[in-house]
Amino acid sequence: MADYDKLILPYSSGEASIEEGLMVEDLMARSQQPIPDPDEWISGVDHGGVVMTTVDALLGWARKQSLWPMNFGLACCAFEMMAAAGNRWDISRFGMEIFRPSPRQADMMIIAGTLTWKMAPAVCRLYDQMAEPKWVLAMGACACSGGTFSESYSVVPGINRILPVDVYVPGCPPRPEGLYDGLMELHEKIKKADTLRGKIHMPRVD
Amino acid sequence: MLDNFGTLGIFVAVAIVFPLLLIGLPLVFRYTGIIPQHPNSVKQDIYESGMKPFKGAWTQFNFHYYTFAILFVVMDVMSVFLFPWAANFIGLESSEQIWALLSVVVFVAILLVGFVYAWRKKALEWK
Repeated sequence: MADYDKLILPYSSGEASIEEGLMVEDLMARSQQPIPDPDEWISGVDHGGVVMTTVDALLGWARKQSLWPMNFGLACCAFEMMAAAGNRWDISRFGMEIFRPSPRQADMMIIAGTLTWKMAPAVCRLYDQMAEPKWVLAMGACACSGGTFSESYSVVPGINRILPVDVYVPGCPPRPEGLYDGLMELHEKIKKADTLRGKIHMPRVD
Repeated sequence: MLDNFGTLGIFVAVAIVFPLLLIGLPLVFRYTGIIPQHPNSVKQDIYESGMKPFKGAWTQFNFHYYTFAILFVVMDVMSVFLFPWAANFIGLESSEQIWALLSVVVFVAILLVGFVYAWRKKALEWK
């Protein structure tokens, strides 16, 4: 068994734990303040031209109708997300029936549930590996603010500490209808994105 | 009669324009900056379910099981062919039964040559 361990890992499991702990503590120290919700790429003004506005609206419409979420469930809210993907609350009505297993193909991240500090570096890494433009939806009380565990040492008190969040869906857990309400709010937000002029830039978080 | 081929002409035109559009539109979006491009080291790193990879993905895998799988598939297909033959063998007349038996013996013999070859080559030994 020891030989097998050496074959797979270039270092012992104790060293791996220490490295992971340092990574988590570094992330905790860096994310004491919440990241402001991204809104600078939302255009409040029209382009002053019929063509540009039409193209922009077309691109926004295409973008909002083809959101592909990341296949990624953290806690109990994930069950409501699965129910939303199932046939009773069919998520494919919104053009997003394919939950992608790889972040390269996804452009939306549903943080479904409690996020612990141990999991946080992995979430940051997945967010960074997603294709741009990308959007984040915080689902449930724990993802929004930490919920019941907001004063716990191990739970991220609101995922806006580590990620720029676009839509918050409260509830413990929110029903699939609640998730859909958040999705439609996100659609409205994407439709307003200034695709042609203001270049959408999603920051690197990790 | 010739005007029936008009629809074929439309079909050909669509068959040419549609793939070009599918290839061209992403290129246009890419070079006009509508598709954002901000590559960084984390984004271009190996995807390992969010974990930090400590090794490249270009490693050798043991493919030894593949010879077993091939031999199993050959045997499987052989049994698929033999089953209907055996099910219908009783219903045949005695003069037809000889031909049926002969043809199956030839079929199995051809496959046996392959099995004996694999056996002599020590393909069935796990190294």
